[in-house]
Amino acid sequence: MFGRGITGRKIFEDYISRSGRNFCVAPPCMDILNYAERIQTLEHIFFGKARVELFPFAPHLFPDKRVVVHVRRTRQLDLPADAIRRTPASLNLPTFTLLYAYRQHIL
Amino acid sequence: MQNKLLLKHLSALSGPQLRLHPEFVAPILHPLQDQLSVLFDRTGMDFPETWHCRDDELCVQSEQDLFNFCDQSLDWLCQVSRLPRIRRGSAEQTAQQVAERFEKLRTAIPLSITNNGIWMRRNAFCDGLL
Repeated sequence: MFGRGITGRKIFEDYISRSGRNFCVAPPCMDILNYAERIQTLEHIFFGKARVELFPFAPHLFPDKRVVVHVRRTRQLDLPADAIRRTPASLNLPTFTLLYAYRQHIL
Repeated sequence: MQNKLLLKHLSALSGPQLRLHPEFVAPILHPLQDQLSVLFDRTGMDFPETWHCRDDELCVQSEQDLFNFCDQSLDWLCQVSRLPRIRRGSAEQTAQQVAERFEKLRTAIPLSITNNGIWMRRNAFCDGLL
């Protein structure tokens, strides 16, 4: 599964969520996940290309927009539906502004 | 570790998606585009970043845009933090009041059980978010 965090919005959101304070999309010291590099590592070092299946992390492609349900179906995993927990995938603008103000004023 | 409980709490507040102006995202544009092209070659799947904002879309370009709080979010924050209504002043003053209420909300989240069964305040292990 790739793609989560590959957008500028998600990178900035993660930075502020994880105690970032500056108005920059990502500070120079912040590692930006390199999916291409990581996938190549998985394919060539760990599992082999034939055993790595890629799927974009795009909620609109998942049943009921739930990634766990998607994995459960495609991999035929026996996961009880009531054990699946949901957490918000991203913060909307009003929520993000509150969090950003908090970051600026509370150390 | 992410404060999933607080995130869940915050998810009650609805609103438009956070969108960033292309100029703001420009510093990481090249690394991301390189990645996307490699992924496209590998999978044939496009994973487009929306690099262009239309004029009619709400788009964050300056820090000031992030201090532009909507009435709905301020009302919601005061309601859930049980603190008095925010009196709008300068962006700085309003943001200060927002931060105080957000802190109250964060610390007011009830006790919860961690994975290993030890009771502790939720805000003691939510460093991921706050």
